Amino acid sequence: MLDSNYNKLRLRALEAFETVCFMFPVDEMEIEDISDTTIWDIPAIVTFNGGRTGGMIIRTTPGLSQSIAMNMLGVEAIDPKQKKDALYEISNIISGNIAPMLNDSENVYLIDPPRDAIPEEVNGGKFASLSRISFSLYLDEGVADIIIYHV
Amino acid sequence: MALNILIVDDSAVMRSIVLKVLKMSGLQITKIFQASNGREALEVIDQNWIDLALVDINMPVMNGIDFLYAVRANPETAELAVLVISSESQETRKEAVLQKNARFVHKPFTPELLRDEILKMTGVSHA
Repeated sequence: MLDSNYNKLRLRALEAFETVCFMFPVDEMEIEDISDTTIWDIPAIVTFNGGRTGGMIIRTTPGLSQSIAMNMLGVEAIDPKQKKDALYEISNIISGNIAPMLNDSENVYLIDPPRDAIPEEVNGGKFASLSRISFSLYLDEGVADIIIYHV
Repeated sequence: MALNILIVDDSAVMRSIVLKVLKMSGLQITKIFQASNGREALEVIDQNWIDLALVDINMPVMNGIDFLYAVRANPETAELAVLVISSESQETRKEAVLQKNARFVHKPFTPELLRDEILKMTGVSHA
């Protein structure tokens, strides 16, 4: 069931970027000209409990989280707090949308506030016993990797 | 009629986005208040006349659902117009909002959708 949900999860995340950040998908081949995919900004994580328990991590290539904040706020000058808050907010929106898609339960999901992810969460060490879904979003201003761990 | 509006969200970025939509909506606004959780919002309401509250659900200290229940339980604020703006996707929680005579806008939203919902709630026709 989760495999069949993969595309739905990916499309829901893309929809959030398009609607809130005014960022649109590009072909993977185009991304080399846009962004270095070997370096990542500090990722954010949102954990959740309910129908399923787990967390969603989002990491972005350098410059993308800056662009997210600029586009969300509609301003050119962004301070570090706004940059972090904007990444947290898009994480919050995506997790709120996709967590209930992980199963059909009507159990209420409790979504925790976003925070910086620690390395053990990003590399999966902390969630070794959980199922994992991941996908990359190739956007016109950079790449966002989304990793979902869940029971 | 000029309105006093309260924005309740723990994300400063989301409060800024909603603020921008309000400023572009064409509504006559006297003052816009902000709070970062339900508890702060109740304090604002206690001290100020508010015509419309725009409220997130998932917030620390007091979430938007508990805020809504507290508002409806107080005779002085029971009729306050409340628009819940949330990424919440579960019908159970959306129904809890609607049953408390509030309206719901799902995140992600377009500025036009939020503006139109606010105009509907305030009885102001679209220019």
